[in-house]
Amino acid sequence: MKWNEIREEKTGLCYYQGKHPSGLTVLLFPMEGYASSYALFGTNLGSVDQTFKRDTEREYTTVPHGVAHFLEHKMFEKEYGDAFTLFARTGASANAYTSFDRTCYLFSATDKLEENLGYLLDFVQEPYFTPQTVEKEQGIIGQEIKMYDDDPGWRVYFNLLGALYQKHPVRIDIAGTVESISHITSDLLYQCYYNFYNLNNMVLSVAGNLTVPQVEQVLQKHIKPVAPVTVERLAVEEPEEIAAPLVRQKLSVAIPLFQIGFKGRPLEGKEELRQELVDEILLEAIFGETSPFYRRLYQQGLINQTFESEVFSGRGYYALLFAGESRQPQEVQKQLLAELKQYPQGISEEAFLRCRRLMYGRQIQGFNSVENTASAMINAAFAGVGLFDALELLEQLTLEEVNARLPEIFRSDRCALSVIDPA
Amino acid sequence: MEKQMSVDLGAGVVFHWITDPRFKSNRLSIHFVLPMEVARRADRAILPYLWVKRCQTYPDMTSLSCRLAELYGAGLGAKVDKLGQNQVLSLAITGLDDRFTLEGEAMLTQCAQLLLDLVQQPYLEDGLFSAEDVETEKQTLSDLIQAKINDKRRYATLRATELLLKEQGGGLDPLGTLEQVQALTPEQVTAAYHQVLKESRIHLFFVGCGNPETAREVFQNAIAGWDRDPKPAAPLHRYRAGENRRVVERMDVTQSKLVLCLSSGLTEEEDPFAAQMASVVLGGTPSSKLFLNVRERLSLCYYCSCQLALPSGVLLVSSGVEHQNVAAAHDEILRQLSLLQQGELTQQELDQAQKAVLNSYRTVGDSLSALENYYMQRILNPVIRSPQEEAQLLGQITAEQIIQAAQRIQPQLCYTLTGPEKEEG
Repeated sequence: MKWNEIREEKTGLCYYQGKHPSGLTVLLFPMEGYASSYALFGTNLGSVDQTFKRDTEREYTTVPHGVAHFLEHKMFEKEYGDAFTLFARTGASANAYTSFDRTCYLFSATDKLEENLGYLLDFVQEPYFTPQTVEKEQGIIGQEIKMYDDDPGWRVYFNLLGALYQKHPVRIDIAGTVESISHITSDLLYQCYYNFYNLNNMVLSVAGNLTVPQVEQVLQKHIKPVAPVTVERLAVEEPEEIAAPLVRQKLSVAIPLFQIGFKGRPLEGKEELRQELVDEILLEAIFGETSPFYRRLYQQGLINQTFESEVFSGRGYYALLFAGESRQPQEVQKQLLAELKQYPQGISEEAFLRCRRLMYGRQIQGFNSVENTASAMINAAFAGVGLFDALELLEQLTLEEVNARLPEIFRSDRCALSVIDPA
Repeated sequence: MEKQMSVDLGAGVVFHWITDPRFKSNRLSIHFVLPMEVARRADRAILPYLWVKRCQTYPDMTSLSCRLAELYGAGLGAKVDKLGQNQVLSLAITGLDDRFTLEGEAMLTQCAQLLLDLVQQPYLEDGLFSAEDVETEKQTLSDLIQAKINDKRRYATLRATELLLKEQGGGLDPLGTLEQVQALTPEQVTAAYHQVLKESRIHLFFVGCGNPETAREVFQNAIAGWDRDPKPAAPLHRYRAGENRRVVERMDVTQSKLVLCLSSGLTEEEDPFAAQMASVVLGGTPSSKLFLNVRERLSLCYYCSCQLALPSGVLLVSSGVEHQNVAAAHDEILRQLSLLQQGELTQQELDQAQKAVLNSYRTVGDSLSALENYYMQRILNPVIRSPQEEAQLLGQITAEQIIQAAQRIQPQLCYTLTGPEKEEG
């Protein structure tokens, strides 16, 4: 296998990128002195991938909400039992997650990297679904869905996405609903599996205690090449307008929880990453802890230390989100919108430089953790960018560019509020 | 590599350091440890939240936040916790190491100085914390107390622990009660501040890739000027088994939470390792008895896990179950415990538990905050061992020792958080 060494000159950070003959993208970040290694094996199938076909097929297939997550659960079940038992032999801690636009299987281990990596590659390449096991899983996932129904942090989030998006499946819970998962069959799981769990669509990312030859050896032994599959997703025509400006729900909470979102236009690759960085600077400068806004609302008791903001982005969706607790969520939204009028000329150069420096520091600190590093690599790969692109782009950003973005993203007519009130 | 070193700086102050070149940052923290005083918890609990808002050098929230941003987004955190029957007030700062700065700034010294400024030069008006700040942070504290209800899984565990330990002087919320918070005055808070600086045991931590001497000097010079009269921390105390109880509380929830509190029978003199292994075998991993039986075989719940809470020595089994399955899940949990007590423990179960434990102990050294937390959790222990040393001792625990430890386990409290009465199946 041919490896590209990718080095960040200023910090000396370095990782290796390779393409296995099977089509699998492999990213390796050896971290000297660390005891653990963290590996992620993922595909770009997420909860938003609802309608798709192979490039050789004529008709699109639409699958029930929650299939990607269901498939993730079922991947652990094998004819021999549970794939967790494999990792139990070495003491590694294994898990998996499904997000809006990807599914990843992972482990964290401090011993026997080759053995664990072999288990990870094997179990994800060996589907085993039967009608009986699917039926049993419907019960377990049904309980997971109910657990989230009681989680106000989760509900306030999905209610907001439902308010921001009219059609895009990002508005639906990742696990689907008890009703939608009742339509899942083992045949459907196989269909999704063979379309998306094709090595050409997959990435392996490992960081920590490892060497490149060590991983290469495992790949040689455990990768089972298959004919490449190209999947076409039916693009969702999501209007730029939001679905509803306000959504409220009552649950057992003491203080109302809120989320505020501004819907934006999704981009791809480096262009998207650049937009994210610009927006992060704006969020930090205008609404972050260094801002007059934060101080004023905190002192007025309108927000507390839980207040935070983030860029929410993925395949086909992009928004800026604010979250927190407040006894007057609508007042927070009002003041947030009013605050933007305080910046007719945009943010100051001083604020721009300060926020950029802060983001630089946080990026570097992220490389302290093997988990963060491996996750950042796979996230970058699925986003079509390199791990160090953010550091490079940060340096290139200009104040003019940031300020030009301001009126575009924070539009009051693209803003929605979600509130969980005490029952 | 991650061996912790400590030096007694005198006057009840201990400086701990762990250096490791693999990290790109340094974490500095200061922990004030005092025996929990039931009526005065809130007076003290508010302090860390006041400290991180402003100080004399940075007299408003914005200038302090800007300073942190200048320090490459150094993270500043305030925390109030308990350690056994002590209240612990903590402040920590994590900043990029000097090596990674763009202009070669002396980050470590500046971070250490900032941490100290916040604690020893708080923003006072006429010698008192400002009424405005106290009011704002009373809100922070009451929001924190009230927000515990949001995460039902955590809430159920906290509530069960509180109910269990109450009679033995434990289980107190280190944040205090809402009533205490609401009654706080600037005078009270300022008095608590002076008392904390004077009477608490202080643990300073340095974890990172920089030079600990730099931090130590800054700390030592500053603390030399403090008026100190340290009082002993509350010693290690383990929960003593009592009668088995059952408590049902109701809330508008879709899924019930079942928490079983079990006494381990551990005494203060004993190492907890055998009990710890019993807890792992029972419900510490996805290959444990509870996970494989309560969740996988019987599909009674989405999660079912067990952990040994230290230093109390209470085993907490926690599970999310549908209302109609609470009784069945409860019975199966106790049946699994009873099987373990009767000696049902395979070599494979033992191997897997040992490997999982070893893995999690080895991982501790890979994170700044995990390392600090590991050692901080053990400051009351008669012997403090490194993660490797503890892992080795845990690895030596035999099946017989685990079964014997399991035989000492007794159910103490069955706590259920469930839906309104009418909804029950």
